Amino acid sequence: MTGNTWTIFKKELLDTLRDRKTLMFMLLIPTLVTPALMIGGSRLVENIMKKKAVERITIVADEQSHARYRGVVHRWFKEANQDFIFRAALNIGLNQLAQQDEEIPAPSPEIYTDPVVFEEWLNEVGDYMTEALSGEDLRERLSEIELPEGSPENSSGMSLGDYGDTMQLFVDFYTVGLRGLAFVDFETPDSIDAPSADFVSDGIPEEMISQPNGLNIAAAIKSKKIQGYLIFEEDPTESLTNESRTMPVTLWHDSTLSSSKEAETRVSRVLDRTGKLVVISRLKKRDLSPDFLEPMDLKGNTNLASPSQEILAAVGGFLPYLVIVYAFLGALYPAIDLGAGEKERNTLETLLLAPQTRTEVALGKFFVILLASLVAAILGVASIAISFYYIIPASVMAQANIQLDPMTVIAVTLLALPPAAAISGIFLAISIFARSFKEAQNYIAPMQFLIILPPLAAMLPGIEMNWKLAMVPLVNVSLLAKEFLKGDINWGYYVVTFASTILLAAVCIGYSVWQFRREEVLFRT
Amino acid sequence: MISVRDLSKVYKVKKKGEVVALQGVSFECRPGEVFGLLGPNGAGKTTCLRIISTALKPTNGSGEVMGHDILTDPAGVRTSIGFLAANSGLYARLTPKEVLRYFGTLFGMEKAKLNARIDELAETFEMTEFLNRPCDKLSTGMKQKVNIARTVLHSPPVIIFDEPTSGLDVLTSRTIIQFVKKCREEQKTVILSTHIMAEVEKLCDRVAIIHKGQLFFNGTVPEIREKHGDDLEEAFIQMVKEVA
Repeated sequence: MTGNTWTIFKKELLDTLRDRKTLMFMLLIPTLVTPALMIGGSRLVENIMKKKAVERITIVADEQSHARYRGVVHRWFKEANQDFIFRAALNIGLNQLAQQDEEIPAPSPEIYTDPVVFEEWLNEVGDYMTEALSGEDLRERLSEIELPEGSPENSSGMSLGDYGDTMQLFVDFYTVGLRGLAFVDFETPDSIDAPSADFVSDGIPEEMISQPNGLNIAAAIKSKKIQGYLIFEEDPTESLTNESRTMPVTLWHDSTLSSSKEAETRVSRVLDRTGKLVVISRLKKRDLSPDFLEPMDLKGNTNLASPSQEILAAVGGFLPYLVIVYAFLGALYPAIDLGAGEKERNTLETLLLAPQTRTEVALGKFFVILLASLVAAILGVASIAISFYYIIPASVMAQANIQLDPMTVIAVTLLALPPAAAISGIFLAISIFARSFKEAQNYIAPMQFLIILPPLAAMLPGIEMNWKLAMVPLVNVSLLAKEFLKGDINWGYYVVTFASTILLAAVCIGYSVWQFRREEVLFRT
Repeated sequence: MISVRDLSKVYKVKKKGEVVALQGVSFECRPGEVFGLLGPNGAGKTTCLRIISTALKPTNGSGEVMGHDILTDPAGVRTSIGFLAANSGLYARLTPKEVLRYFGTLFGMEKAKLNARIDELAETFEMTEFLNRPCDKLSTGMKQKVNIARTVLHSPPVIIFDEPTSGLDVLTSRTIIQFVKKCREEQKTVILSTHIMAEVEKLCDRVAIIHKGQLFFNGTVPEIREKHGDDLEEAFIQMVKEVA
């Protein structure tokens, strides 16, 4: 840098740092707003999911269908009790899960024989557990449950986590028993009122609304008063013994309404889990092992990628994209301010009449834009990396063992340099060409697509780095990152990527200098 | 010392073709002299001054500033002039002191000298009070004072003022007029473009009148009076009408 370039650089940097708008875009958005949105967004989704899982829904069913549905859930329970660890650990497990002062009332022996008593007991358990249950860490909490003392399986202090199949039964107790039955209110079809006058029945199948009270039920689902209408045409106790046919079950619902969709999810889980257990017991009866249904299995744990490599491959693909987006945002305002802004404030003529060369002016400005772009890219990537620490569960993070060491920082900086330089050069040229701040913004807005789309395309699978693509600015950064993550670092590509970017930046700076000499550009208003 | 010979400037304007902004203008102004450039809006005054300052290249003609040719030695010209453009702006987020330091450094002034010069100019233009205030917080008059201080910061032998008092109150105008007089005493060459006749009377040793790109009068104020009567404004209007 010559003395004059340095003088211009210092002044433009000071000017840029005093501009609150620029600082907002350069620092605040990448470092605070994006992580806040990411963390807040993921928490919000998590909370909605949790609430949805324990939400009480209302299903319409006549008494017979209700009883038959209850019979299916009870059938699941009876099958699950074939597992004697499940049987032994049930109460202890429920009490440990509920974590309340009062113990969940011990069930009467009738729950194993009488489905009505079973449903009453489930409702009681549900009342104790609504607060305690949350879908995400259920497995984790279950795995810590200590098995009852004295049982043969607990001779060496085993916990539920050591028995995968039993733990799955506990998870199913939650999805089938609690979500499928205890958190559901049943109403009879004739208790549903006539629809309001403005209900439109268009699009609802004729055979549904022509049923007795069918129109009322459809209207009640559409208006979110109830979530579904359940019909069991056959008695499951009989149907499930008949091994040669599938028992039909009907559920009216509206998949566009989230609670009604939830009703469909719950009923289909109940049928699915119970069906699986019924199949296993059918196999046992014929002295067949469950393996009868699974002739082949692809064994896990032969994956050569470590957990940290898997995370890098999943998250790392977005790295160049993020770098480019933040480099773009960081360069945007300084570039417009330093070029078009100087024209708008009527300071350019005075500056160009000072003795320094126009190349020195263009370079001084370019380096400030480049710095802003780089800082924004690095801060943006860093803050997203930090937000991932909060979003990805701690257990996964611990496995992955990702550390932010100086080498990673240097690698990201090196990765950010080419796109930042290319973007800074392009923006400076546009900004100097533009008459005013507004005009510069108008020119740069469509550039977003030109700058952000090609690197995105390069992220598609199948597109690999080669010498030709290494010469295409921005696209080469994407491909270079791809190579980087695969662990093949071809320094030749790195050099070509840098060289092509420096060339582009140089052309842009040259263009800017030429603009500075053009009378019609300098003095047009 | 400024001398220009036969300056012409033709702008190429899209759709309209060529627009002649200046045609065959020649004049000279000497050290210790304030040279007034008069003319209605759009007459070509600013184009003429921009050519002298090397911001624009003439289509035809030549010129010299303190022995530097405006075509072959623009860098030499730039170091020997101080140029105040019409409507010249300031960096809103910088303070006057920072603006002055920036330009002083670009003009290659040493730090100690520069600081002393800034203090001196701050006193001349009564700027001490707002020297460290951001420029966008200054009044029009304060801004113009900073602009003029910036123009003469590097003590150039030639000073070009393009409408320095436009939009200013009487008090600030007076400070500026007194400063121009001081420049004359210091044997500087001053070109002043204006259309305020009172300023012309007070300041200008010689006057050139430009209209529609052509110079049609070059002489002293008494000479104008001799030809066209005592009222300078009336005389100016009459002369412009004669050309049209």
